[in-house]
Amino acid sequence: MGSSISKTLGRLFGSTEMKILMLGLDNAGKTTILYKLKLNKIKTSTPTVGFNVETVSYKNVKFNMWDVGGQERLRPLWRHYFPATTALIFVIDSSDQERLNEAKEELYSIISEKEMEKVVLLVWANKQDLKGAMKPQDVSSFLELDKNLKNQLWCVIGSNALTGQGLVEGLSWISNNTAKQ
Amino acid sequence: MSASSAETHVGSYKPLGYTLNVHSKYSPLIATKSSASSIPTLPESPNSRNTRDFISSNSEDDAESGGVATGFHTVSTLGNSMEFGDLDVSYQIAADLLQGTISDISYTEYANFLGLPENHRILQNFVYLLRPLPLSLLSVLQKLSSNIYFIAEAQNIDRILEETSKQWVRCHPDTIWGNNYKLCHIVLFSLLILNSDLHNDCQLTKFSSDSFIHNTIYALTKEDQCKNIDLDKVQPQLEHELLSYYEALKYSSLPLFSRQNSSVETVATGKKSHTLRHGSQVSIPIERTPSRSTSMYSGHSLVKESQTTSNWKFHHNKTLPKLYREEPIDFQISSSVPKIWCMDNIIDISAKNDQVNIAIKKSQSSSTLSQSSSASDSNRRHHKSIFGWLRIGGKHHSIFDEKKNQLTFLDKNDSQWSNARVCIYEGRIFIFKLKEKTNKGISNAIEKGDLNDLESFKNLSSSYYVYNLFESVADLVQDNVVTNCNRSRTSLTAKGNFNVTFPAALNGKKNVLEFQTPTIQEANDYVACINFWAARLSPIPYAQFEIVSNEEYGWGDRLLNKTSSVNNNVRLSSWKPLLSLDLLHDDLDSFTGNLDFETQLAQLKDFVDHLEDLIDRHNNIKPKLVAKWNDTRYFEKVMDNWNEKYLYMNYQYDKRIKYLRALQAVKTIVDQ
Repeated sequence: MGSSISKTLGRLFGSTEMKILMLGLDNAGKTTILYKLKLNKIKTSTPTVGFNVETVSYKNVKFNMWDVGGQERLRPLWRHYFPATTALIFVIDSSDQERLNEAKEELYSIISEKEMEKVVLLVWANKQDLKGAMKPQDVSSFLELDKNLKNQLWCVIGSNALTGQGLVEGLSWISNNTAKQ
Repeated sequence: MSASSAETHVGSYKPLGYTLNVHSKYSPLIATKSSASSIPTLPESPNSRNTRDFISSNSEDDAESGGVATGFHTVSTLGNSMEFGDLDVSYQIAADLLQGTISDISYTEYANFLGLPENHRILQNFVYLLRPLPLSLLSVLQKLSSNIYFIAEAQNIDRILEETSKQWVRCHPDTIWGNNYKLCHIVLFSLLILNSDLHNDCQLTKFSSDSFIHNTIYALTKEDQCKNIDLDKVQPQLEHELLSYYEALKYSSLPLFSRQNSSVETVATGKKSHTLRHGSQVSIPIERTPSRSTSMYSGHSLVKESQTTSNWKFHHNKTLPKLYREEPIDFQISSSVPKIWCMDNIIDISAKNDQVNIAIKKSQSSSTLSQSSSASDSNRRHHKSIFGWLRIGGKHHSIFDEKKNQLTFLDKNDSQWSNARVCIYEGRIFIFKLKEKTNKGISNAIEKGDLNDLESFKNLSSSYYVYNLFESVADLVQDNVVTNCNRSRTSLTAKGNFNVTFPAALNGKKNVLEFQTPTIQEANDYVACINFWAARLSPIPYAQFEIVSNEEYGWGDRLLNKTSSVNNNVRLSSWKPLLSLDLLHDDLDSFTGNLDFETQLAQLKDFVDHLEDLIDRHNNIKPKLVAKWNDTRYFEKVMDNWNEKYLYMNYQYDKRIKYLRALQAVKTIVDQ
């Protein structure tokens, strides 16, 4: 499974080099997603003290995935991550409605930064397999992307990191919308 | 990758709800252990309920006053005193964590454990045990990371650093920070991000010292406590300090604590030995050449068969993993209507099938097949490559290309067909092309229903291949085509034909296999069996249909319902189906957590209904679209978009309704 997704990545992105930043609250499923994308052919970094920074590179495609969390006072530090980002993937736990608002705040505090003006935004409404998970449509209305995002192209896709559903679709969407840039 | 990293990954890639699991699973164990060893009368473990009590009873925690410090001293100086009950447990656990004597959690998870909100008391004790905290904030981090494996979830790290900051300002009240621990917290966190950035192998662009200093100070100014210090005045000093941290971190990364010999049993004897606590420094060269050797991944992976396919595994005698969830219904079906559950006969396969070439190509790479077959194959491959351009670019081939391969049944010539044992079993199709025409012995063996001989069949066949049935679909040709040319000359019964279509794979081609059976009934049985398995295994493609985006294809609500004419500056995207998992059908050779039969059936029913509705709606907007876009330069593109989407939905509908019918048929039988 993993190796095949990486093949897909190679096919999708060809020789483009892009920095994809994957963010989301803790427990949104970033690590599981990464695991699904990961494979023997992909080079993984040696562990570094601090955060779970996962970098997956396949040919010239680089996924830099940072585990963002922590209190509000730390959010201004996120701009450390922003330079040169092509696409932002924001992962949401669709089954955790209590923290949806927190996720929304986090998302906007990132996307409204000046340096993020030109990124394409993919929201993975993750954990679709769980009972009571919000559908992508509901997640999208809750996030009010339509109302608030004027510059960026965005898209919400339901995903299930355990089976891999929605992952290829999401990356495929990113590639469709970044190719010409 | 080092051994320790492998361990981390195994540890941290547990699926959902992992953080919570650590706590609920381990903390009672820990408490039991501590109480057994040192505090036998301890009534309760620090579970989330009562730790919360401790925390709330200690609500001055958040105040910056000395209240906590006092409370703290009490805990630590009184040490093992029994009268402090639960507080004492926290202390003991903290000490054990520092000693590395907690064996219920891997040492790589200690930081995650400490950072859980319910373990706050333990965290306080832990940081206290690290005192004296060095004056340099970077040295504080170094001290932390040489005492505990310091890779964890961001939120947990956040809590550890916050507690550390609180205690640090108490230890060092006379710095520029005063008692504003929140500011120190930001600096510590920023330093840790810097460390992750500078020393992560694959990080393309590293922070510059300027941006690091700038961003950190920016974050400080956003924090309210910043008003308590005269930032303008201390800024030069602050910049200098941050720069020195930056340089030091660039020179050497924070040490990663490791415990190679973590056989905790030996430690758990209670010896207060510190020998196991040596942080092994990960020495990192200062000038690192980025080791991104792209050559490692280039080319081959796309040509070479992936080791995850059924075919590879079968060929290399690996166990084929189970593809489905076994349920009572499997027993019911396999005993009452075995044909739906498993088909295994010798039938005909079209000699023209692409798949055969692929199969032989695969065998060629292995040493087990005879030279002669690989020689004939290389001819065939050569032949293929000459005309390869005809096929390349899946999108543009003509409709005849696709049909051409599926019309073998119209050909009266028997030589178009070769004998093969075709077995549908547990979600896979096994095809063995036989070396010679039907052999009675073989048919008899099959009739006995002994499936264990699949292995031995490898030797009887000129080539064989195995595919899983994810997203594949079978059709009975006679459903669609009525002709008299498939009548055998010697028999009056009509032969049956069926095709199995596998979705387009990474090479962009759909694979279609053609089969011929002695009777239409038998073809029907194969179709039912294949579609039953495919329907069970294939996930419902929700993602594609539930996607919400601000991309405009021409039928967005805003555009369609606007009465005014179309603005000339519309950013129209081209509609195309997103690639999905069925692209990888061949590699999905494992249990994918598919649903039980009843749920799958129910969801499939809903999905098909939903699709019908979508298709109707799509049809209904067409006149609107024409009216809206007619006479604009976007007309062609919008109509292309409409068409593309229509075709895609139809394709999906066609396939899912076959799946639905297959499952419904089984359901009817089982219910009787």
